Amino acid sequence: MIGRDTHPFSRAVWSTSVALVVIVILGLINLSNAASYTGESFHQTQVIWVVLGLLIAAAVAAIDMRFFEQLSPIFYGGAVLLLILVLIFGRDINFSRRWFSLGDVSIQPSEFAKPAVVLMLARFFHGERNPESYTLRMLLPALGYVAAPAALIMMQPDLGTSLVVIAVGFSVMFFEGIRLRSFLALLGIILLLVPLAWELDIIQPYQKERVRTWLTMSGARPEAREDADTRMQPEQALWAVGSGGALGRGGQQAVQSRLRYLPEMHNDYILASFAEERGFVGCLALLAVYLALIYSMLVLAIRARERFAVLVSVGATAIVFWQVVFNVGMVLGIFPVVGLTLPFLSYGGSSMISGMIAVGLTLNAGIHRGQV
Amino acid sequence: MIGGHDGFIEYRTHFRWAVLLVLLAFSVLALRLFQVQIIDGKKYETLAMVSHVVRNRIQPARGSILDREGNVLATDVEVADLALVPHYVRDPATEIARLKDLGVFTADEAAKVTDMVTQSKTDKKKRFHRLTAKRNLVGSRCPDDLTVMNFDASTGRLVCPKCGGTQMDQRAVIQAHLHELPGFSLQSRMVRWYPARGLTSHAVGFVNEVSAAEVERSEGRLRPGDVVGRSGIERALDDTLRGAPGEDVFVRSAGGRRVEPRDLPEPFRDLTSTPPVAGKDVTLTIDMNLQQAAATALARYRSGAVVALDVDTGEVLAMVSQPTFEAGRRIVPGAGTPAKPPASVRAESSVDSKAYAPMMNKAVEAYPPGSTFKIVTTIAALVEGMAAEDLEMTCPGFYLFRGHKFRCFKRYGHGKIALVDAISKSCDTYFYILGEQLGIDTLAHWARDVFGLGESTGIEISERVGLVPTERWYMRHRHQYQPGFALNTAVGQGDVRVTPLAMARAYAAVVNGGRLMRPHLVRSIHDAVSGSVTSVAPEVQRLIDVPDDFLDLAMRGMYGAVNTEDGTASSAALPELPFAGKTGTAQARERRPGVGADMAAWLQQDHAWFVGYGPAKRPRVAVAAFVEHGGFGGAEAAPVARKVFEAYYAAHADEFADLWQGFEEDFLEVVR
Ligand SMILES: [Zn+2]
Ligand SMILES: [Zn+2]
Repeated sequence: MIGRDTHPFSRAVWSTSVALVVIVILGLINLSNAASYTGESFHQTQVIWVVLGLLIAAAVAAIDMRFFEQLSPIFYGGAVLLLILVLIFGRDINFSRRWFSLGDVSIQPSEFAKPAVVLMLARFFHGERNPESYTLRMLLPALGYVAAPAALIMMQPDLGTSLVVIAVGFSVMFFEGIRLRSFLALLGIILLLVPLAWELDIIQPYQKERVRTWLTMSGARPEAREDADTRMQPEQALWAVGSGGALGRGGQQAVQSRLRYLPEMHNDYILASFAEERGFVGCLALLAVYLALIYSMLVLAIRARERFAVLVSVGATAIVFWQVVFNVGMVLGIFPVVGLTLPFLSYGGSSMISGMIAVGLTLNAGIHRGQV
Repeated sequence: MIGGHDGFIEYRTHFRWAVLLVLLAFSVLALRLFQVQIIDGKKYETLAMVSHVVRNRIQPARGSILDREGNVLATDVEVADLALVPHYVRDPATEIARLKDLGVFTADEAAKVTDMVTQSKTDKKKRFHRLTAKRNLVGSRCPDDLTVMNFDASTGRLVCPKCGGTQMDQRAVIQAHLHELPGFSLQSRMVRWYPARGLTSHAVGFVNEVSAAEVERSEGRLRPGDVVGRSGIERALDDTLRGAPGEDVFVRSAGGRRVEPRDLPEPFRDLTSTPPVAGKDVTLTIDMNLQQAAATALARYRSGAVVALDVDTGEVLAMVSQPTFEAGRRIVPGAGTPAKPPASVRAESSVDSKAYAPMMNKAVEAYPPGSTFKIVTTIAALVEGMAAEDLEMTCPGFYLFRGHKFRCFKRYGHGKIALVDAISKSCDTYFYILGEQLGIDTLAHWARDVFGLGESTGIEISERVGLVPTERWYMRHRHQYQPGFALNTAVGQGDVRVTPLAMARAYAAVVNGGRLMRPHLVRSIHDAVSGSVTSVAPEVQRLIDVPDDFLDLAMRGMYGAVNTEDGTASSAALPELPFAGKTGTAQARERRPGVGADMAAWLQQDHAWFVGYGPAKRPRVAVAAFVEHGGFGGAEAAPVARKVFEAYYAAHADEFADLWQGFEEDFLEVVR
C-alpha cells in the first residue's frame, strides 16, 4: 500500500464526517428554533432520525462494497416495487400518493429509490465496462434504469424527486464517460421537446391546465392550497430570505415563520426560516459546509480503487448535490416550486436516512477504498 | 489494481468537471443569496411589512349634545348588523333557514338573503365581499325608544322598562349560534341617535355619511363611512364633536390571527396603535320645558317658529321650527308598535309636512316683520327728536302721501293718538309719519347698526341675515327709489326681512338696558378626555346708546299692547304675571305655481308675529313667535308666545312670587 493516504481514514473521510455532523447539528438547532414558531417539537423526533441515520451511515460505511454490488438488483427491484405499491396502497394525502403509513411513521419510498438507482447504475457500468465513450444505444439499459423509477415517482406526482433521480442518473452517466454528443442529444431532446410541444399547441389546453395543476400540486404541499396566503408561499419565502438581510434577525426571531406564512418551514422551506434568522452571512456559512461535504464526497469517490465504488460514490454525491441545488434554488426563486427537502436540514425520517445512506456509501468507498 | 495512484486516471478529467460544476452551482446560489438578502433585502422586508401589517382606523365616539339640564339630545349608539361572506357560507339554504327558525329572519328576508348568497357564491370576486344580511339587529335597546332593555329570565326575552314592549334579543341569539354558522359575523356600528326625536331637530341638526367628493376634498381628514354634521349644532360644532380617529395597528398572521407588534422583532416592534380621542360633549342652552311648550303651541299651525332668549345672557332657551323632522328615525326597525311621538310631531302629521319645508329652521329664516318693527321706528324717532311721549297725531284710517293712500290696518282710523297708544294699538298712520320724517336711510341705520336687524346675530348655527333696505339698495336692486318706501319700512313692510331670532334679540336689548347680546346655543363644552369644561360666557355685541326714558316709552307701549283692553294682543294677556310685546301682521301674499287650492289659500294669509318679553317688570325672557301665513299676530302668534311665558313662569314660580305685588299701580312710573 503506497500512497499519500496510508491510513484508510483519509482526510476526506474526516472532512466528510465533520461536515455532515456540522450540518446535522445546524439542522437540529434550526428545527428547535422553528418549534418556537409552530409550537410543534419536530426537533425532538428529528434527533431520533439523526441518531438512526448516523447508525445506518456507519453500517453502510462498514459493510463490504461487494455486498452492495451483488444485492443492487434486489435493492433496485425492491425500490421499484415499493414505488408501484405506493401508487396503489399509499396514503392518499391531498391528491398525491407518496407515503406508506406504518403506525405513526410515514415512509416515502421515492427517497430510497435514489440510492437504489445509483447502485443499479454503478453495477451496470461496472459490468458494461467500456474504456471508450458509450454510444446512445449502449446507454439504453441505463436510461431505462433511471426512467422507470422517475416515471413512477412522477405519477405520484412528485416532480422534484423525479427530477433529482434523473439528474443523479445523468451525473453518473456523465462521470462514467457518456459521449458529450450523446449527452447533449439527450439533454436537447428533453429541453426542446417539452417547450416545443407546449408552444405549438400539440399539448391541448386542458392538458396544459393539468400540467399546471400538477406542477402546483407537486410543488406547494396540497393542504396549503386552500387559502391565498400560502398560495403565495414562494413569494413569502423570498420575503423571509430578504428580511434576513446581512446578519439576520437572530434565533427565533423570524417574522415570516412566526406569522406562519411558511407552513412548510420545517420541511421544504426550512432554508427560508434559517435565512431570515441568520442572514446572508449564515447562509453563506451553510453553503460553505455543504460545499465542503460535497467536495469531500467527490474526493472520496475519485480515490476509490474500484470502479463500482467510484460510481456509487459519485451517484451518492450527486444525490446530495442536486437535492441541495434544487431546494436552495427553489427557495431563492431560481427554480419553480418542485417540493424537495434540503438534505439533513429538513425535518423527516425518509429524507434523513436516504441522505445518510448516500454519505455512508461514499464513506464506505473512502474507508475501504473500494478494494475487493 | 495497481497502487501508487489515487483513483482512476480516466475519471480525473470528469472529477475536475464535476468540481467545476459544483463550484459554479454554488456560486450561482451565493450570488442569488447576495441579491435577495443584501441588494433587495430591504425591499422584501418592506413588502412583508406592508402586506402583513393591518392598520384599522378606530372611529372616535362622536360627542353628545345635551340640553341645559344634561338630558341627551344627540348621542352615538352602537347597533349590530348581521354580515356574511358568501364564500364561507357552506350551505346557504340550511343556515339561513336555521336563522329563520331562530327568529332572526322572516320568511321573506330568508328567501331574499338565500338568493343573494347563492348568486354571490358563484361570482369569483363577489363571493369574498362581505354582505349585510340584516341591518340593525334588535339588541339590548328597545327598537321603539332605544331605552336599554332588561332581560327577563322567565321568558327569555328583553323587556323595555319604558314602553313595556318585549323583544327577542336577536343579537344574543345569533352570538350563541355563531360558531355553527360559518361565514356569518356580527358587525357593530355606531349610529347617531336623537332621543328627543323631532323636538330639537333644528337647533341640534343631524349628521349623515360623507360623499365621495367630500372625502376627496378633505385631504385625508375624512374617510368613507365617516359622518359629518349637516345642519344645526351638529354642523356648526362638527370639529368639536367629531374628535380624532385612532389607529389599531397589528400584524396579521397567515391564519388571520392577530399578532401584537411588540411580540415581533424590529421593525415590526416599533409599530404602535393610537387610541381615538373622543369628541367633546356640547351642552346647549335649550330649556326643554320651554322647547316643548313652544313646540306644542306651534303644533296646530302648518308653519312657524319660536325663539326664546334669556334677555341678560343671550342664551337661546327655545328654538322651534314647525313642521319638524326626525333624524335617525330608522336606527332600529320597529318590530313592535311605534312609540308615541312628541306632541309636535304628532300634530303636524295631519297635514303633508313635506310641503312646509320641515328641514328649514324658520327661527333663522328671514320674513317681513310687520308691526314688530315699529319698536325700532319708535326708538329711532325718539332719539332723532322726531317723536316724543306727548306727540299726538290723527289717524283717519290712512295716510295720504304724495297722492298715495297708505292704509292703517284699522279701517276707520284711531282718531287722535299719542306715542304709547300708537304702539299698543299699532296705529300704522302714526308710524308712516315717523317713517316719512326719519327717511329710509336713518331707519335702516337704526335697525341694522343699532338693533342688529339685517345683519348676522353671531349665533353658532347658520342663519339668514335678513335685510333692511336703504335708498342705495333700492337703486341697485330695483333701479328706482320712491320716498314711499320709507313709510313701508317704518311699519315693517315692503322689503324688510328679519329672522325671529334677530327680532327676539333686538327686543331683549330694548328691555335689558341696551345691551345687544350675541345669541348662543352652546352653554358649555365638556372634554371627556381632560375632564375640562369650557363655559360660554355671555357676550355683549354692542351697547345701544339710548336714554332709558325712551326705552321705557317703548316698553309702556308694549305693556299696553298685551295688557290693556284695546291692545292688539289683549286676548293673550296673562293677568297673574303679565308679559308685554308687540304684535305684527305682515302682508306676505305669495303665489306658487302648482300648489293645491288649500295651500294656495294658505299662501294668501298674512304672517302672524308676536315679539315680546316677560315678566313685564324686570324682564327675564324674550320670545319671538312667528306663524307663517298665520293671520293676525295678536290672534295667532301672541297665544303661542303666551304658552312659552306660562311655561317659563311655571318653572320659575318661586322667583316671581312677590314680583307682581303693586306692579299694576306703579307701572307707569317704574317699568324696571
Ligand atoms: Zn320601549
Ligand atoms: Zn291708525
